[in-house]
Amino acid sequence: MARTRYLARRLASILVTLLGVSLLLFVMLQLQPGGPAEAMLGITATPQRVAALNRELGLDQPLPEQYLHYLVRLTHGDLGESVIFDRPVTEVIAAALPTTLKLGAYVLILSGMTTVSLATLAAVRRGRPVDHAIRALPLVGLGMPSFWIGVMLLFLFTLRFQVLPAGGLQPGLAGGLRSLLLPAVTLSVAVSAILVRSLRRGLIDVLESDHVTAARARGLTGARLLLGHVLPNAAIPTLTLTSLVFASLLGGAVIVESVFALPGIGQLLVDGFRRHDVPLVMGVALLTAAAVMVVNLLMDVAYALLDPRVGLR
Amino acid sequence: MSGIDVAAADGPVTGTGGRRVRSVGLLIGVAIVGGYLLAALLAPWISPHGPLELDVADALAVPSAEHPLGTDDLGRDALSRLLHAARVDLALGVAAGVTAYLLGTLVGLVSGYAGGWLDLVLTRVMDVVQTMPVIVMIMILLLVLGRGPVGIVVALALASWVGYARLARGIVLAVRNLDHIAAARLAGLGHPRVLLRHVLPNVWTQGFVFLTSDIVLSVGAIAALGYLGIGIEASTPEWGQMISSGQAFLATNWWLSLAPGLAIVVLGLGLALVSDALTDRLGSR
Repeated sequence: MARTRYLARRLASILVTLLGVSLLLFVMLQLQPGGPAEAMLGITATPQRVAALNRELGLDQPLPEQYLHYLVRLTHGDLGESVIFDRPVTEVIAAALPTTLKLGAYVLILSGMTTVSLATLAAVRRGRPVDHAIRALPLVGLGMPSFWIGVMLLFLFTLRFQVLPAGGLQPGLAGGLRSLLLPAVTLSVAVSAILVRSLRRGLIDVLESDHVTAARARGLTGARLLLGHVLPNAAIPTLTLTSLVFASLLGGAVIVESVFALPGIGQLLVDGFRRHDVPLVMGVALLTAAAVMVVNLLMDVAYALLDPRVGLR
Repeated sequence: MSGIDVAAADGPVTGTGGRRVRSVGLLIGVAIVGGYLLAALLAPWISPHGPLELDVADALAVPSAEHPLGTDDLGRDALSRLLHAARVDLALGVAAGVTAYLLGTLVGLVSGYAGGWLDLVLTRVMDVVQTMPVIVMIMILLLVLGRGPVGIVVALALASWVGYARLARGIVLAVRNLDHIAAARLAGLGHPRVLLRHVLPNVWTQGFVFLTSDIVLSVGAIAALGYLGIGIEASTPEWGQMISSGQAFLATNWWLSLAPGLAIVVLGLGLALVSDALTDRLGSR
């Protein structure tokens, strides 16, 4: 019961925030120099064409009415027509989304593996040189621009050693795995840099706790102790960080997709921005905002399910 | 920016050994950051060539005594451009960071101190801003503000003030019920006075520590815009734009893209060392 109420309240809160995002985007649309129509048509537009497009888009009506209109269309899943593709924005996004989702899943797996192995190594060898080295990694990793890491990886693995494709997305599972490897590694650097320190801390706390001493006394050692008793508990605080990381991961994907010429939603956003396709830019922005909020909610729920001390309140 | 305080996950280093390591770290950090500031200030005098000086006959030259980092595809000296880019990237990054710091701290103070409906509205606004990745928010704002230096600084600040606001709001909420603040209010000091004298100093320093770790993210965002070709005007020397234009010549002149990226990484390292040492010294968080 409490759970249902919690979920309902969180969903309501998400809707309010989304409404805020839509209002923000709508205001931004209006504030463009020359208004949306002129911005779309470019500076060479004649007044007649601007007026015609204004009528077509309903931009000659009062602002509050336009906003309501915009909201009604949103609830029907209508994000408008993309100017550069001449197709509904939802269709354009739906075609690009799988690429970005695949990339995201890849990053999740890679950064998960890196984070767990580095943090475990550091925690088990606490105070030794390898621990200090791993703790120093974020100092460098966090400041590294993702696009630069991408360019350097391109240089090493496609030009120097020529073992991986230079860009674009190849068909099939093997092709996909190969062509998404470098972009995924690129994005994993920043993600792991954020998560390693937190997981190491969590591991050390759990390793020193009574129930691990008890498990040791029962004769549990090595991998069984680590995987069965330590990691699941140590991962909980890091999980909350994951939702923070997700937003920056999405932002990173925007840039990294451009580096590797991947046809995902980040690429759409950049193309849309360059060619002033306002409905497309707004659609992608709305989608990223919704995704961030849903992930936050999921993380909160997972947190409560994993840690019985945390209630869904 | 969505700066995440990694130092917070570790807690202060205890013992004299840790303290000494931190002091060395601070020293190295200050030296690095100082070096960048000097390079940026003195760029016109220490650069071997002008940053816009074309020499097409000598395009894509390999590093030599004449051109220590070689030349780009238009024959411009890469080192000179790198040094001049420090001016652009640092100036814009610091301006955006400081603007976000001031704006965020102000909003956070008001929100935390006022409470009630104003706090509710302001935290909602923070939620809205933070649901979008910084780079997406910047692009939306740039559609309106235009792509000049001022537009970029304002867009970046408007996309990244929330971290400071949440920090300031948190401190105000924690501090407003402390004994000496409550005593000051009971003694009849007005709200602005209590805010200025007793709460602000604490907020100010902690926000500054956050700023030191945040500036490299601002620089990274500016470079990302430059890389995507939607930032500052293309002929202006800028690190991200240099990485992008060097990418076409990776096979032969890989150093053209390597050097500007290293410049950002080393700057980030210097700032992170300073920030870690400050966090430790001020015992913040």
